[in-house]
Order: sequence, then structure tokens, then C-alpha cells
Amino acid sequence: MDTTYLNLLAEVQPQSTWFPIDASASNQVDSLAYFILVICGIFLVFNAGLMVFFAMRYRQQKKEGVAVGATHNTALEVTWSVIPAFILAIIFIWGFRGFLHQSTPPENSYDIMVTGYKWGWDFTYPNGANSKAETDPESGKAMAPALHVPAYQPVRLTLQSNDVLHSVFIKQLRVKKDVVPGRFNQMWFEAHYDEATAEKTTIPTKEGGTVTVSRNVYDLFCTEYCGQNHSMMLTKVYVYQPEDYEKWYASMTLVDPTTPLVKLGETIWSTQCKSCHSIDGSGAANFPSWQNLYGTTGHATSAGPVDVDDAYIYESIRNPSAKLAGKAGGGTYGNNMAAFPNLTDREVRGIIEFMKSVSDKAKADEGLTYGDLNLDGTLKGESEGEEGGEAGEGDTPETPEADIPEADTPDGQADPEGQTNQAANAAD
Amino acid sequence: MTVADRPITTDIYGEEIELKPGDNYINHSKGILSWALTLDHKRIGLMYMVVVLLSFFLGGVFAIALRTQLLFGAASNITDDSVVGSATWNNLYNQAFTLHGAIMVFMFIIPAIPAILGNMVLPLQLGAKDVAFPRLNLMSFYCWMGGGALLGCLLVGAIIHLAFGGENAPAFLSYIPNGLDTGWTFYTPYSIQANNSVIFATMGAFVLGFSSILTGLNFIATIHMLKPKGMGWFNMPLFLWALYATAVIQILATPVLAITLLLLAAENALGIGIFDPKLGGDPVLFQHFFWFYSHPAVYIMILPALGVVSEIISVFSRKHIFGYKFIAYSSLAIALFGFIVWGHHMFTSGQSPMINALFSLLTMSVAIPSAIKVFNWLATMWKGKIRLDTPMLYAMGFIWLFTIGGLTGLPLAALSTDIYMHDTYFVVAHFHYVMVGSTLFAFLGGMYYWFPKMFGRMYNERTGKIAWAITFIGFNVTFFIQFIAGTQGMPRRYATYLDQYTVYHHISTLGSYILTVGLVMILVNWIMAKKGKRAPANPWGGNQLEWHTNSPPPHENFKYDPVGTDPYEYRDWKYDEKIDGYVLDPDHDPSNPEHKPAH
Repeated sequence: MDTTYLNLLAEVQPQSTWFPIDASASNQVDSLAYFILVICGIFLVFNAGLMVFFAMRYRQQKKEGVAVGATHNTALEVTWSVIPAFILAIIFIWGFRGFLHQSTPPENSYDIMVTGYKWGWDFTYPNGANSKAETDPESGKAMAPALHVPAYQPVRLTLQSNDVLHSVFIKQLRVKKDVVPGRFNQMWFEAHYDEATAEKTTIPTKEGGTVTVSRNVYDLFCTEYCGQNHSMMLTKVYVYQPEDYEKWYASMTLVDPTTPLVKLGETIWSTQCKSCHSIDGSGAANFPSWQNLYGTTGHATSAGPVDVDDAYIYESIRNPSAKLAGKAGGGTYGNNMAAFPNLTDREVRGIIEFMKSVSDKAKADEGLTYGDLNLDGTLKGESEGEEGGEAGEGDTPETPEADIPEADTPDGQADPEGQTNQAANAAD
Repeated sequence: MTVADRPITTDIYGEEIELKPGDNYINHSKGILSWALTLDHKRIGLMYMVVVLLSFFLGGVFAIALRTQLLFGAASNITDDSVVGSATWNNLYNQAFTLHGAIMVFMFIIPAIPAILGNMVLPLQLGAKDVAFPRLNLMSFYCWMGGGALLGCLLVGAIIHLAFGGENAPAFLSYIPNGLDTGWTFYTPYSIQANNSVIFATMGAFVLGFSSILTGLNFIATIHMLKPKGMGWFNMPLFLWALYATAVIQILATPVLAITLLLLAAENALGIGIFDPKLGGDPVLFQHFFWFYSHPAVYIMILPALGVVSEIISVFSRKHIFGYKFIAYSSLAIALFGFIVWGHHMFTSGQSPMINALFSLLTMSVAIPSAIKVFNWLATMWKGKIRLDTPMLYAMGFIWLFTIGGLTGLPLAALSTDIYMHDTYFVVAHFHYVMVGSTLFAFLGGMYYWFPKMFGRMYNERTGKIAWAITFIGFNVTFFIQFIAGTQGMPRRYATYLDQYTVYHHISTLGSYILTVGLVMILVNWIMAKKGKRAPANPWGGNQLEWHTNSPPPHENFKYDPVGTDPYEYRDWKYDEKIDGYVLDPDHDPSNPEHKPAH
């Protein structure tokens, strides 16, 4: 036999227990599961054993004759109805108590917002920052943003979906909850930190240096079927010791909400778009260049000619396959771009302003910041801007949800008042 | 000349009778139309057999396709330009498991026992000439064909898309339904964002549902109205109790599916906003509607199987069934409980903990009538004279599979453990043990058991036993390992998987190939039985009324109007070595007008 199988088998059972590593400080699953497993084993051996024994012991010798025996016995029937009922009652109560614990987050929980989308995850932390897309530590491939949590601290996840049903499943923490569009579901867990299986890694700090942290790495699966890449909607859960979590948390850079949009757009372009989209016309044979693109009228696409305006760019970022850009010589560039659902609306706005700045057909306002624009692109009046500013000075929640309500709106026509307030919240 | 070659068989008294054209239901009349427009329940049963087995074959092809994909689906096989993990790979897998599920559930498991064996045997067990409404029976067959054709459109459409799709797809393609990839459960909102194939699929399932409703209605009416003289509710064969309980579910639950599917189609085509969260609808509401039918549907699949096994266990133990009333009432109890447990499919959906607790408790209660049946079968075997022919091996295989399938329902009914196991391979293995393992084994056992009656020929016993062993091993290898994969956290409906699950998937796929070999052997055995030994009227010694007529039965079923007696009292049938079957002394036959009372 191929020895890789043996290696794989060894990996499957890293502990002596049947289930995967238990990283949960409040495991409600394993002990009941073992209890049920033992009950199942006893009944299976009893039933199958009796069946096989009877088949051998009472096997027919001659085809003549019939067997005579009791045709009913009420006492026996009642006995074998009541005994299972008793066992079932124990299992029910045990399971229900565990479930109550599983579904009641403690009051001191640490809150993280989770957004599921086709096909990835987005995590928003109490300071308003999102964890960034990273590479899978095992395969080195690109991976959706991961979930970073502190150990020994109840963590409450608030779940929402941008599109269809998803489900968060972290097997080592024994938790699962569906992510349902149109409602907020909640789940919680408290993780152990396991020194033996932890990995050491360095992460960049905000100041430009690096810092070493150690953390446990677990898998996060989507367990509700959600279409084409359902089986690839995986990411990692990183569990840090509390002091290391502080280091990681401090390393998360919050974008300064007063950054001019053009500057913000340029930063995003240089990190996420530049490899395909040039701004000087180069590489146009393979990917559309942004040079002089904004403001083009009658731009050929797979869905007919369109004007390259804010709405078209917004759609091309959120849903790239809707209107594939046409090549100069005919045909389209093909369906090569993945959607970017985890860019906030402000970041999309920034990209649009940046595209304007590299196009002769439009003029970007280099000093523009978020909330200064009306939906039609004109500047807002003085009074509206001040109103927004006042709202920002009051008590506002710590977690801005800038990218939540708008994400469902394909053309970005969100409520302008709401945008103003959110921008103000972010500034708070 | 041997007995097999001569057109001679024996009647229930062991008297030789010469076979003449037109004296049984198969050769009663000739021509395609005599079949297509037949009102004979036995012929309708045979037509169901052909198309339902064809569906089983198709569903099986998809099962093998997806298990074969899973041989290669490990994450380490995925690179930027590999076929594994590409959009095509994932789409093919998603379509394969969707069509596998939809075909197997709606076109195979639900109709298998009621439509084939039920149609064939129910009027015979009642000593009746036919079901109560023969025309309705034919109509339900054509409903099945219509629904099957709609689902078939999807399959053809998927093939056309595969052939002509791509960069420069011709315009007409957009009018042809593409393959369906929503899963057989059609969960919203994914199913309302998918293409027009969902409308085809829901309409297909809708029409198939009517086939099921009409059959159920017919069976209820037949059992109420056509019981023979001497047969009351409590000396009916237990197969009839099982079919009765099934029919009750069919006529009460299936209309809910019809309504749900219509609402889904309306949501898809018109955007009425009942399930779509963007329009203020609730996607979880769809799950409640869907499982309000589809959980009882699980009992539509398993209850007739329980009935078949009750018959086989008693006849092949040569002993009266133990605990008749408890088995009969437990069928009704399962049917009743089956209606009030649907919420256990939504334990992780965010419904209130109180609702979860109620559904958990109610779900547990189903275990009790199920356990009662198993214990009663074991008590029937106790001190019996057990003959281990193929039908009995399938019945015993059923007990093994049903016990495992039932017991693994416990960690899924208990709340805290279900949270962990929900939507993993543990669930996949559990429902395959119950729906496929148990129902398929009971169906195959029932087919072998009534095969002599249906076709008047004996199948090859030795091949039957070998094929049983292969299917039994193949099934357990395929699905037992999935319990382990599930406890290790392998999620279901995954086209690709983490490397740590490779071993489980490879073993499971190997098992599915073994199972396929066994199933092909069974089919060959049945076809070869065309030249098999002619069957006596009663090869197994049962006293149910279907054994009180020739094999195969004449068009009008019985020579005399039969009289019902205790179906599990076998003592009047004497073994006749010459014909390897059981014969009745004419003086002990209460149906015979010239009958002289013996006791």
C-alpha cells in the first residue's frame, strides 16, 4: 500500500480522541457524542448479534412444517418501548442543556462582524478595520480574509450575508451557524490556546517594523451550499494568546477617513489592481487600461455599448461578469476578474476618483473626501456637510458598517444621508 | 423434456395446469396499446418498474460520476490551471449531485415500493380484481411520465449546453434550460437567482407529486372498500398497513410540496417577494415549507420498506409475525410523528432555541416506533425455522442498515451534537443508510420475494446470494466511512476537499464501485430469469392472499373470490418436493366453493 495513505491516516488523528482537536473552552459536543456512540454500539451489537445468532441457531433443516411460538406479549412490548424512551429522554436533556450554553453568549463577549459572500468571508473588528486577504499558510495560495481571535475570551460573531445562504463551521471549536441574508444570526465560542500545536509567525506593524506572534491555526468551512465555489469558501481561524492578539490588533491599519479619495484610490490601485490594469495604456492587449477610460461614451461591452461612468465602474468591481469590456479590435477581454465585494463603498469611490484623475475625459477633484459628493457627482452644499459633522459628534456605535447596506445595491444608489452619517461615524 | 421447458405449471393445490396464451396478465392481450392504455394494476406496476428502474440507473450514473470526481478532489491537486477545482469541475459536480438527488428522491425512492410493488401486490393481498379506481391509477402513471419528462429536459439541456456552450455560444442556448445546480432541496435565495432550469425542475417535481398523491388516494380507497370477506383491519397483511400509512402521508404532505414549488416558481418568474430577502421575504420560510413535505417524504420512502420486511421476516422464519398490532400501530405512529419533526433540518438556521428544543424532543420520539419494529422482527425470528434465501438475506441486511441508520439519527436529533454534525458527511451517511440502504434493500428483497408471482419464473438463487453479498459489502464500504469523515468535520456538497479527507473519499468511492457491480449482477440475474424454472403458485409458503393464485396471476387475479384468513398462519400449506413449493389441500381452502371445512 502507498505509504502516503499511512501518513494521511496519521494526520487524521493527531490526538487520541475520535473527534478533531478540541480547541473549545466550553465543549458541549464530545462527551454527549461519546455517550450516544456507546449506546449506539451496544444496541447495534445486540440487534445484529441476535439476528445472526437466530439465523444460525434456528436455520431451517427441512422445508416442511412451521415454527410455533408466541404471537404477542404485551409486557415485553411495553418493556422494549419504555427502555429506549428513558434513554432518549437522557439524550434530549443533555443535548438541550448543551445547546442552551452554545446559544447564549456571555455578556463580556468580544464582538466581530462576519459577512459571507460568494465565495469568501469578511471580518470587521471593534475598531472598524477588516482583516485583509492573505495567503493560505499551508498551500501558499490566495485565501479569503481570515478570522483573528483572542484565546480565553468569549467571542461573539454576528453573521450576515451579501447574497445567498452560507454557514460558518469551525470544527475545532465545535460551532456552526447559518449565515442568512436578510437577518443577523449570532454565534459564540471561547477558544483555548494550545502551545504544542501553535505556529510562530511575524506580522508587520503599523510603524513599519515586524513583530513575532504565536497562534493556533484552524479551518473555517462554509457548510451551506452556495453555488459554484462552495467547496473553496474556506479560510483560517487564528487563535492568539491575549498578549499576542493585542499585537496583531494594533498592527491593523485603519484608513484615515480624511484621506482624499484620489489618494485612497491610488493606494488600492497600486496594491490590488495594478498587476492587470495599467494607467499608461500598456498591456491593453490583455486587460483594459485605465488611461483615458473614464468618461468614454459608447464603450463596447458584452451587453452592448455603455458610458463609462460611476455606475458602470461600480458594477464592474462588484459584479465584473455583468458587462465584459470590449477590446479595441472586437470581441471582449473575457471573464477574468473576480468580484471585490470586500472593498468598502468609500474605497470604490476612491478608485473611481483615481480613474478620473488618469483620464483626459474627466477631471477629478484632488481634495475631495468621502461624503462631499452627491450621487450625480456634484459637490454638496455647505449645510448638508455640517449636518453630517454634527451627527458625528454625538454618541455613535464603534463599529461602522460602511460596506453593509450598500453592498446589495448594484448601482451604488445608496441613501446619500446615510453615507454622510457613516462617513461622520468613521471620523469619530 | 424437463419441467422448465414444458408450458406447464402448478396451481395452488399442486395440480398441473397447461399454460395457454392469454391465461395470465402478461400475455392476456397483445400490442403496445394494450399496455399503454391498460387498467390492470399488475401491468401498470410493471410499466412503473421499467421507468423507475431506468431512473435508478440514471441517478446511479450521476452518483458514480460524482464519486469519481471525488477521487481527484483533494486540495493539493488544485493549481491555477488544473481541471480539478476549476469552474467547470465545480459546476459539473454541483449539477451531478443535484440531479443525483432529485432523480433518486422524486423518481426512484418515493415511487419504488408503492408504485411498483404496491401496485402489483396490494389488490392481490386484498383478494381484489384491481384497485378501487383503475383509471386514476393509469393517470398517476402518466403524471409520473410527465414529471419525469420535465426533469429529463434539464438533463438534455445540460448536455446541449455542454456541447455548444462557451465563449461564442449561439443565441438559442439561452432558451434551453441549463443543468440544475441548486441541490434537490432548492434552497432560496440561491434557487431564485439561478437560471430558468429551476422552473423546469420545480414543475417536474410538482407533476411527479401528483402521481404520488393519486396513487396514495387510490390505495386508501382500495384498502377501505375492497377488503374481502373474512378480512378485517387486524388480519390485513402488514404490508397493507405500511402502504396505508404511507398513503396518508402522500395525500396530506405532497400538496404542501406542490404549493411550495409553485411559490418558488412564482418567486423565480414574477419576484413576488415571499422568499427573497431583497424583497422582504424570508429564505428560511422556504426551508420550513420544503421540509414540511420533505421530512414526511422520508417516511414515504421508509414505511413501505418496513412493510415489505415484516412480510419477508415472518414468511422466511416459517412463523407467525410477533406483535402484529404493535407493528401496525407503529406504522401509523411513524406516519403521525413524521409530520411534526421537520424543524430538525433548521437547527443551525437561527430559529428560536425553544422551537429547536421542541423539534429535538419530537424527533427523538420517532425512534420508539422504529425500535419496536426491529425488536418485533427479532422476536419473530426467535425459535423460527429460518430459510436463508435471497429475500431473507435482504431483509436481514435491511435490519442491519436500518439499525445503523436509525441509531445515527440520535446524535443528529440531540441539539448540541447536531450543531457539530449538521451539514457534514455524517448526515450524508445517515440518510443514505436510512433512505438508500434500508429502502433499496427492502425494495430488492421485495422484488426477489414477489418475483415468482410477478413473472412466473424463479431467479437464480446462487447468483442472487452472491449479488446480495456484493451489494451489502459495497454499500457499507461506501457509506460507513462517511460517518467517520463526518465526525472529522468533512462538509457535504464539496467538489474539492482538504487533503486530510482523502483517505475517506477514496475508500467511499471504492465502495461505490463494488455496489455498482452488485447492482448490475442483480439486473442480469433478473433478465436471465426469463429462462428460469417455472415458479409454483406459492414458492415460499406464505398465506397472504397473493399466494392464493397462480404465478403469474390471471388478468382477473383469482379463480374464486378469496376469503381472508390470518395471513401469518402458514400451517395449511404443505411442502411439495416435486415442485419445490407449497400446496394447499383443497379441503383447507376457504375460498374454494367446493370447500369442506376441515377444522
